[in-house]
Amino acid sequence: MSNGPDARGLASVLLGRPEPQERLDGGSVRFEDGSSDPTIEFGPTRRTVVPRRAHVGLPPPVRRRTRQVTSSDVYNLLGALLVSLCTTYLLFGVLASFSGLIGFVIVFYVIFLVAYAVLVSINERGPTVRDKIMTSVLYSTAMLALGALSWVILSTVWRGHRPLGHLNFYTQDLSTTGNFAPRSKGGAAHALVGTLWQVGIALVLTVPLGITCAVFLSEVGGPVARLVRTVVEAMTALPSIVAGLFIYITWIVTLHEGHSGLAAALAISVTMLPIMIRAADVVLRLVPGNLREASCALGAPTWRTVWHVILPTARSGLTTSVILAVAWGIGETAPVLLTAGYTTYMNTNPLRGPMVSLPLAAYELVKTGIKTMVERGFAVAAFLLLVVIVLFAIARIVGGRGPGQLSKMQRRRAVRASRRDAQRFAVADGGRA
Amino acid sequence: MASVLEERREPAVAPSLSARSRRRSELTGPDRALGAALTVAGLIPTLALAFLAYQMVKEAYPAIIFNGWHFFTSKTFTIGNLYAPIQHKRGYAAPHGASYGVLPLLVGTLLSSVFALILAVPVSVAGAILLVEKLPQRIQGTLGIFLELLAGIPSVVFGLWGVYTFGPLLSRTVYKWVDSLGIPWLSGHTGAGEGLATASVVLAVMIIPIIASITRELVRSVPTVAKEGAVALGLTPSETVRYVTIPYVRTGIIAAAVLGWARALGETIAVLIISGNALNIYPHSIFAPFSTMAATIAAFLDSALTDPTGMAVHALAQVGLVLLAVTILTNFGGRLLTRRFADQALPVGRGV
Repeated sequence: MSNGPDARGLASVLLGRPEPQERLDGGSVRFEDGSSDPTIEFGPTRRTVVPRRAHVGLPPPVRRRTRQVTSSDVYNLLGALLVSLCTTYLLFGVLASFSGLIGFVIVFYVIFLVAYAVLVSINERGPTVRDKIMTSVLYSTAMLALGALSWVILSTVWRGHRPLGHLNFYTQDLSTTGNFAPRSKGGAAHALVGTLWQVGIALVLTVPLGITCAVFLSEVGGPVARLVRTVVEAMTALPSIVAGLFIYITWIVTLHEGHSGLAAALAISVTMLPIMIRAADVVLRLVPGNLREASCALGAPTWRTVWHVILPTARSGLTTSVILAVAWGIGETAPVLLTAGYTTYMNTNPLRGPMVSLPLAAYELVKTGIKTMVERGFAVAAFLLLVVIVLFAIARIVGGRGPGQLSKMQRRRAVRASRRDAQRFAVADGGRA
Repeated sequence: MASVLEERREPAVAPSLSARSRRRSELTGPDRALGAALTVAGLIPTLALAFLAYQMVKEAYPAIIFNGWHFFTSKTFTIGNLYAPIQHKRGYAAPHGASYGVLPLLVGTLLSSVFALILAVPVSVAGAILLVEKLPQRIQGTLGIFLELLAGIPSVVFGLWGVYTFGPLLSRTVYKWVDSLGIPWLSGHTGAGEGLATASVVLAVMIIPIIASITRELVRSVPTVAKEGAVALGLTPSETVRYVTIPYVRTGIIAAAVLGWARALGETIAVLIISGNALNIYPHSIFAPFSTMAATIAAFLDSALTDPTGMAVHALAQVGLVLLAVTILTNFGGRLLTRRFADQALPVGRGV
């Protein structure tokens, strides 16, 4: 027991005091070297016992459940709904001459709240009644918001679902489609190709730059990184129309180039880059510090630490940040409106000529006001919406894991590699022997 | 065995553990290259933003000189008569009758975004609190993902929904009813539902997911101990929310609101579709058509190109510059308010 400070606890080293040896009998602490510290006292070892409470004339306390729904809650709610529905119906249809949907909803809601309060107050006290009322107000507010947002998605998909069922929607452009052409003619292939080109170019520009910049922010640090982080935050606030105007001024006014897919891609890049950097920065900061330290301890230089430890650990998170940035880039309309121009022709050259993208096509088609074109516009919007939803779903599946957590396949691969290594070592050892 | 360990023992001075603070002499060639590459990549966004600001100021400069203070006091924005003799003022030429006044646009931008904020903040906070404190764990996760997804819906979709579905419905029902009440600024011709009221509501629906998902993260960060303490003191759940949760996240909610506001300020396409594009007037009622700075830039650029003197494009650049300044100042204000919540906010898209 005399091999230096390692044998004792870390605390005793830090405190510069030997660790107490005996703790079982009462009195003050006695140390290894025979000295004692009278300031640390403890009683003889005995189990802690909660004293028995005498419930004189009081019912035994009941454990309060804060998140439990009882049957009386449900009955109260249903009863209040029924009461308010009937009362409102009576007021509007039979007794009084009120009318109008909005009035009906408001009167229904007010009567519901009152009825609910009355029903709850039969069994409960004041604070509980107030709590129930607050909770139902909370629920109805949130339901309103969620309902509105679901309505956005559903109404767009509903208005545009008919052209989506025709194959020609994905394979044809609108160059030869008249205003009254049926759904079996014309499509949005040109917008799809335009979006693929524009977002593709924007990705090529922003992914390497964004991830490198995020690595700079999280690994280098210092006053420069702080400045860059502030700038990136400022850029996320940049209105997309200003990004479009900037590219318009630089590309079209100053350099005298025409509207093109490349200009739109540049404008999208300006809006995508800060989102990318911020998302990747958050992910990289989640990489545990001890992985970095372990890598250093093994003698790896910084670039190896970054390349072999930090980036692979954060891979799923970085993928998520790329997908989120793509989902945002695809939906950008304003910068594309200024820089890409509008066309009904298929244009596969991003360097020359106007090149329309999905959101811009949706906007321009609906703006025409012609029934068939409006329907096609909504179909494009619905398609765009579905693409964004799919991208978010993929991002969630990929990024659901924390940093460093492996998927099943990755784990299997790691096991195989480790087995190969073990075999290699065994062979090498056998050769030496 | 012991001797091997003895040999390997590090010198008395412990080397620094962090890769960041490695000593200069320890850096290898690739390390230096990496450092240089990282610094260059790190500076590119800064340079890009600086270049953006430079280009905007350069393009707007003739308009700044030409307009003077007139820009902020006039209510008329017109590119002038292109067939009349060109006028000269302060050394710059512009079409006859050209006047670039940003005031109605500024008023429209601020009104619509502030109305949107007033509608969105209570709803978002209620939703976030409900999500974290009331709903069971499983629904919580699913709804959280849905919320993030909603924050990513393209704004053109909101615009189309607003002008084709939501606006007409509001106009037929709610607006008619509000109009019948006869309150001065709340009554007027409701039309097809294109105007300030619809734009504000749609902007509110757009920024609800953003504010709510940030607030959700904040509410989740409230220490359980504090909430348990409140429950132990006999507070009901809603009292716990009122006396523990809300005070704890108040600053964060302000920051989230400011970030949502920045998004509403800079929103272009949805407002362009729903606003009714009124020029040169202040909205005389809440249902009146109006326009914002961002929407005007998008709507005017094509006709600005027909101006032979180029002053119209310069003026639009000046509008963009004002918009940029307003948005960035708002964003910084929000971030300054809440430095300590900066790391917790999820990076959900623009303006967040």
